[in-house]
Amino acid sequence: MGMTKPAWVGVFVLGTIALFAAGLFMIGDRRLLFTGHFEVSTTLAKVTGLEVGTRVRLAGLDAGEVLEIRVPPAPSGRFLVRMRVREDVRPLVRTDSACTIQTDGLVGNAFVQMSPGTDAAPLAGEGDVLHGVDPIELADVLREGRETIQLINRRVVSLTDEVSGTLTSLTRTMDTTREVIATAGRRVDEFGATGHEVLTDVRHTVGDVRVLVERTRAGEGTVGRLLTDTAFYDRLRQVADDAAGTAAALRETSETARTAVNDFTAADGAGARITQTIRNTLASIEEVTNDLAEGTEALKRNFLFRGFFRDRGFFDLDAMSREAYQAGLLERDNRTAVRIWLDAAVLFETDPDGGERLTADGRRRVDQAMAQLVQYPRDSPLVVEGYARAGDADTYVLSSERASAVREYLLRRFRRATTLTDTMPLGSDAVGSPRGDATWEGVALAMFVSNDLFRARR
Amino acid sequence: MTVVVSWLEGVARAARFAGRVLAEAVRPPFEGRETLRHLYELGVRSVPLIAAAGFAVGVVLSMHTRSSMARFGAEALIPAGLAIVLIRETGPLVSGLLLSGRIGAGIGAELGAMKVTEQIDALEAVAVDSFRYLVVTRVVACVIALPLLTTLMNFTGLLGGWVAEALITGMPLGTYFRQAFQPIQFTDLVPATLKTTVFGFIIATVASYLGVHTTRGTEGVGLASTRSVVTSSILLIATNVLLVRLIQFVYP
Amino acid sequence: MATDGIPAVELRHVTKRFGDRAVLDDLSLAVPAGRAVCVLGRSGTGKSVMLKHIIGLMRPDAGSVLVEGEDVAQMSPRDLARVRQRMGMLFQHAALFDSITVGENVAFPLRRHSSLPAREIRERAEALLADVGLAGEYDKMPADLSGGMRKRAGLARALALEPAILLADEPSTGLDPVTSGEIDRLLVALRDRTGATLIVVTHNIPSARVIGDELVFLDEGRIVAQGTAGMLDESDIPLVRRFMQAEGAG
Repeated sequence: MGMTKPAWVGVFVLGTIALFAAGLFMIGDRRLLFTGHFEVSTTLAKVTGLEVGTRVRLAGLDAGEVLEIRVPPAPSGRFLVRMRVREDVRPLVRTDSACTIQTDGLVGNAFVQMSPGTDAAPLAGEGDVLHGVDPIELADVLREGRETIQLINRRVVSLTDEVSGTLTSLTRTMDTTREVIATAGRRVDEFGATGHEVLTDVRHTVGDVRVLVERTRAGEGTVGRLLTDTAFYDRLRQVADDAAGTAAALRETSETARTAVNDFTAADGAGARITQTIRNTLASIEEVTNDLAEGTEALKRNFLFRGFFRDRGFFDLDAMSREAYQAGLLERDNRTAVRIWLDAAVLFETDPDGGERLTADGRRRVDQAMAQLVQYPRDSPLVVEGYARAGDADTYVLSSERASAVREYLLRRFRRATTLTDTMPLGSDAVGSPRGDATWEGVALAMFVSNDLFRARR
Repeated sequence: MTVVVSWLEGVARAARFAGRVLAEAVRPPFEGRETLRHLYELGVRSVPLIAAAGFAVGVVLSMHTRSSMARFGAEALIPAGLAIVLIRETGPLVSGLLLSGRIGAGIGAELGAMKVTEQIDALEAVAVDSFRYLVVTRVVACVIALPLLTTLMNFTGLLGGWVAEALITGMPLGTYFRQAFQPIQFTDLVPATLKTTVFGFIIATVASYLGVHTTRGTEGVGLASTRSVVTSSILLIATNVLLVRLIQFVYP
Repeated sequence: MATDGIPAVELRHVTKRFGDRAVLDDLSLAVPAGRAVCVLGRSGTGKSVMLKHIIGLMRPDAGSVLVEGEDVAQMSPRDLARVRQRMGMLFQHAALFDSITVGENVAFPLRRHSSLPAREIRERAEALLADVGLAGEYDKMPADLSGGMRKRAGLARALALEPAILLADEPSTGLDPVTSGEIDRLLVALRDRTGATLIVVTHNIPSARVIGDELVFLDEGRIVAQGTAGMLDESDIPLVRRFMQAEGAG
């Protein structure tokens, strides 16, 4: 307390002036008033968000600021943007450095992004005009996004056509194969079965692709709304490219198959060799078809489409774990499962190579079951749950086969939408089965209907 | 009608008073000693108030900006956002209003008391220009003190912002200030700070006018003090609108 | 400066109105240099207002106020300041500056108007305080003094510049008789020592008798009686006579 009043006033005045000066210094320091700097310019067609004092960043480093924005003399001209840049980054600023306007995050300030040049290019000199890259504006991005979607639509449509064509030729190939097999005798008969399976798979896949196309078309508006993520286009493009590639491969394979079958018919006697060829060919058809299935699956799983699918009430059992299914994931949103249990003894017979096939009685039993379900709207999701005896090594495979066989029949016979009809192999885990011991042999048709409707029908 | 006329006369008298302050303030001899004394009373003694208020404002603003910036995932902009808000407007205006309370009431009451106890007459009687001695010195001290106190508030405000930030993210002080000053231009800091000289002028002039024209004894002193605060606050807010517009006009 | 023949203070037909009421009504009064005049009258008859006119704190609506021959009301601020330095005024409630010490109050006029070094100013102020019986009170704040002490300090301040004309507004009002008597003695002693002109407003008749060479009786802004105490005692105006008889009226 030895301080007099004037001394305090002195401390007060000098202290606060020092604070003010420190503030000025911080601004000045940032504006490079106290450090070495040099000047370069760039030309831009648009200067959205740019003003005098806007930051300049070089490879992410705060490197300077905009000094002046000179308006072009004519509409066709470009704005000249003069910038002050820190002397110490000069080694990075080359004559081939480019400038563009970028924005910090979604709401941030605009800044000039200056890219470092290449080592070979000479250093940019005082006052040099660097190449300016015009910024892509959100509106442009959206427009481009729309174009991308249309492009994808076109590609998917043509892909579908290709797949349909392939399917036709495949069918022909298979028919030929079958003929060949019929004439070639029992030895080759097993390949006919494999071919039939492949055919089914392909048909299934093609159906999925067609649905996908329809959805993409219908969802264009929804998709358009979400076009804020540039990474998304790349993914979509990738998926479309994959699908296109797969289709090409499929076409190629079916070509080979046809040639092979032609060879077979042309040169009888060389049975064993040709059988081998057919086997190989069909194996590769299977592989390729799987590729296609995977490609379309990837498309379906794409976060954007996934949200879209969910909005429309489509379900995606592939993306759903058995546990989630059994926990009743499909029974949310006011839905109840109406389940009809079908015994394997009635439905199936084992075909020569150990697969499960629907018998004529089995078909009738399924028809009866469906008769009980027609009272519910056609767009109710229907899941064919597959069950098999516990203990077998291939319980899961068997349950899967059974479910697939029934689903296939349902699609053909009742023209159920593929998207609303799916399989869920549940192995031996049959909670709530009529046997009462939570096991089941066969399938269960589970239709998910709204609670209100369910109660009303009761 | 007569109410309006007398009100207008009052305004005219106050304006003449203000004009006289301006004219006398630039003419020597200056009452340096007295100005220094007021600089102490009005400036130094307002430091705790302004520092504390600034700190609190900084903390609160920081918390608010955090919640809204977090919505956009732009937490990195908190220091800069606070600095812009504080330096451009909140610092000057809040210090202005706080000081119109502290200083305005003080001057109003002090001069009012001097008036009713004839101290102002006594000053005149010993051949001292009471206007220069009492009013001009206070106005000058206030005009000097306001931008300095505003600077202090800006500083403690940022300090408060830093504390709020450091408690959550542990950001170092240096980093905080560097980030805070990232978007600040000279044209943000200098005009906003200097405009508070006008606030200082308004506060001291209004309070002096009402103090010097106090009548009706002790009751009048209280009235002068209250009216000083109310009038100078309102005038300050209104003037601020004009000043901001003017600054934006000069530095677009 | 007090040229012979020119009154130290002269009011010529001074009129001052507050609203409709004439506080001073065509008042004329001349006070020769070196004379002590006591202004008497009931409360609110314009006595204080008259003093404020003389020292230039108020300007007359009509008439003129001359101090040593110069019209106070027409003066430039600079001239007025010069004239005021020749005058001292003791206010009714002392009007000490309450933000500075008693001593600084007394030293204030010296600091403002003399080029004396600070040490000497302090010595002079201490001497002035001692003269009014306040030795050792230099560093007290005015608020810590009693009414009488404050008044004496006010007197010391009024005397600081050794005024040729001393105006005192009710110097003994509100004081006990002893203190009041001391103040009277101080005023008389001052005049005897310096030969200053004294104009004292009071309603304390005993004081007036002690101090005043001449008594002036104001009523409703006019001088109704003027003369020595003896003359006023014999006045044919009942009010004046009653007033003069009310000894000790305060």
